[in-house]
Amino acid sequence: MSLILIFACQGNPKSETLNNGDSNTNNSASSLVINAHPDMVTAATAEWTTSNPTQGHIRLIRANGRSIDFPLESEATETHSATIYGMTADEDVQIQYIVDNVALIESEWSSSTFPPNLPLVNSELSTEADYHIVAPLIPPESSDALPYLTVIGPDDDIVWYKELSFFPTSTIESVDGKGVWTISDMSLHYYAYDLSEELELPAERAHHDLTVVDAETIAYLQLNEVNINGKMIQADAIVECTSNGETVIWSVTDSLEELGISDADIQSAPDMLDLAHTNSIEYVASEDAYYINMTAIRGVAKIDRSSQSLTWAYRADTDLATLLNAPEQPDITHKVASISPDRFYQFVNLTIESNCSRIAEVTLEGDEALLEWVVAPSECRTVFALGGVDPLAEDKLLVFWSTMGQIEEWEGGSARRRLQNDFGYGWGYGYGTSRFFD
Amino acid sequence: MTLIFVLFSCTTESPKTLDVDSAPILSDLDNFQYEASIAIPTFELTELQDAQLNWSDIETDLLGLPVEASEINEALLSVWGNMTASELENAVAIGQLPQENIRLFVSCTPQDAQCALSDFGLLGNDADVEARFVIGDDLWMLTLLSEDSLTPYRRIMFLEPSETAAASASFLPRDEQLIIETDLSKMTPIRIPTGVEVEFDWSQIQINGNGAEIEAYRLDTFFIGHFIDSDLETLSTRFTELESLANRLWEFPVTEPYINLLNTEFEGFTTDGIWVLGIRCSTCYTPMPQFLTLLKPTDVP
Repeated sequence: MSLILIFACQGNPKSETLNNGDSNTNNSASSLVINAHPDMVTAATAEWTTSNPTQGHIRLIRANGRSIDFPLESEATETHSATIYGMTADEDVQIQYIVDNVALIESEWSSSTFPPNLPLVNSELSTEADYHIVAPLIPPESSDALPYLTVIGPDDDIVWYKELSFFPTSTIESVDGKGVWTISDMSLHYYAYDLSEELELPAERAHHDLTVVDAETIAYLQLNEVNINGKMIQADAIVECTSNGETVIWSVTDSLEELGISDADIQSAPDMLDLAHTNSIEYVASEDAYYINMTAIRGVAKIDRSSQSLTWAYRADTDLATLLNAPEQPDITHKVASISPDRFYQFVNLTIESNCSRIAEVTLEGDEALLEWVVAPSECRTVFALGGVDPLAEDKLLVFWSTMGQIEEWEGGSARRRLQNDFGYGWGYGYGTSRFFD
Repeated sequence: MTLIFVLFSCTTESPKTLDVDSAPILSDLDNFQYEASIAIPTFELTELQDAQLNWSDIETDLLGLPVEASEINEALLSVWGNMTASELENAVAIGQLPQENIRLFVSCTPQDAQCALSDFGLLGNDADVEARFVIGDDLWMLTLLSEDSLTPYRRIMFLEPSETAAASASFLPRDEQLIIETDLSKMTPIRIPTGVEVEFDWSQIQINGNGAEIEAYRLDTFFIGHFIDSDLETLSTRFTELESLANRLWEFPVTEPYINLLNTEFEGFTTDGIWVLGIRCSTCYTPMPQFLTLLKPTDVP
């Protein structure tokens, strides 16, 4: 099937100088020249001049009445430019240049139509939201459709997107909140929300998930081939990546005994089996620790970053820990999100007893682990791959029912907001953010 | 089994206009109508065991069009929950598959026109399909894909885990699963001038021929077909072969909801034969055009 991209039209900006000859500043501004951004039909570039150096900011007034203020310019100048983003497709907006709370000039502009294969996101259950959702959209492996990074606004519409050439399974916000990191099997990629910057760091054999450590350091899960007593298996590692290179922090092979993986397990395993198969990672700065999920052994491990050693691990199926009061034992699991030391949320794809997906809250107490369901839809859902959870403010949870094509906000045991994409795309690990316009 | 697609005729009873219009604004009333249904054959296989799925003998796809086994470059196995077989058949027929009902979606790159259950995986990972293949309410649907096909799927079958001893399933050589009927002869053509100075605007269309909402931004191909050797009855009964039946066919990528043919390679409308205008969505899960109407070129003094 052929894919035809619809390119943006420039729109017909109609600008108006509002404050020519301001009494306080004696400033005037020339017309705002607005063009569709070459990389995104729902973003625009704006250029304008002022008669005197001014330091102001852009205000975007969307069709729904929402007003969005972009950051103050870094310095006073007579020649100005800005990238304006956060609109959805086919939207009529107003764009103002604000100096000292006064709009010097304003213009109307219309965004263009989405690319034809970008799936629509439909709101099936809506509530007032004050955050944006950033998440990858992954097409079926066999289709001609393209993967995307997307940002969904508080009004349930896609307001930012990035077409990708690889399958992005996860996203994470940068430390400064100005962009998003994502992962391919060969590299880590950064995209600034304001489209001003893209970065790519080599990360060979990366898979599933990445996490931000600090402004300079991204950690990711790496899949390595290792030889243990003559047996070739695959083993996962936590690798930190900076512009200066990579450092292996910890490998499953460092802690085989603590993870309950015996040499007999290794020798009896099929060649090149990934015995632990890690599939999510989160760095928690307050603990200087990594939490990783290991679905193949139905366990979670906490790795101390400074000592590069395992702090604790539990497996549901060994004597390392016993899940108490667990209504059902997790089988396939994916994203882990820490709540406090030794307590975390976990996306459970399947349980031993059923094929139903839920979110568990797991608490470790000594040698025991306690599990309870905090998101348990009344109807049985099945997410056969990926599956994410991200805690929001006020005890809300953002749940990514990945292969069902749904994202939900849950609070107090019920769903408040539900987004459903068109058939054919699954969501990767995503997150909610209030810093989209920082 | 056969598929039954019943396409209803357009209900427009009176001409949109008797005047020749060089810049018609297309509306939903100009669009053809159809109704679709599909019957997917079921093959029982032993639960919890590996099985071979074979299509080496296929000769036609689900539209009845020729296909060779070697053209199949991908097999998809999907599992659906909380719906009946007839609900899933209807969803397939009208291209409205419900993602929230998917329980598993794995693929296989075939070798020698077959895949084993154990060959299916997800992004290179083994999905342990045979261990999930158990008796239950879920629907297991096997679909065959090929590149550059009009239909999203070339052939489809249901697999039913059972206590039977069957360890393989084969597609029948011929199985016209998808039948489309329409009566284009009852449509009222839009009168346009002969030549190339014609502009079409489809910004107002909202509903496709099956009554579903058109996602306008997904329309990606505009085509005009000129049929000299086929009458409307033939075009109606062999609707899915429009492209091959056309004596001349012009296709243009959609970049705006209108097209001025003067600026294209179109060679001009003539008064002979039958003229069809269509708009397709190649990323939609249906072989049907989202919009299709007849044109009546008329010499204007």
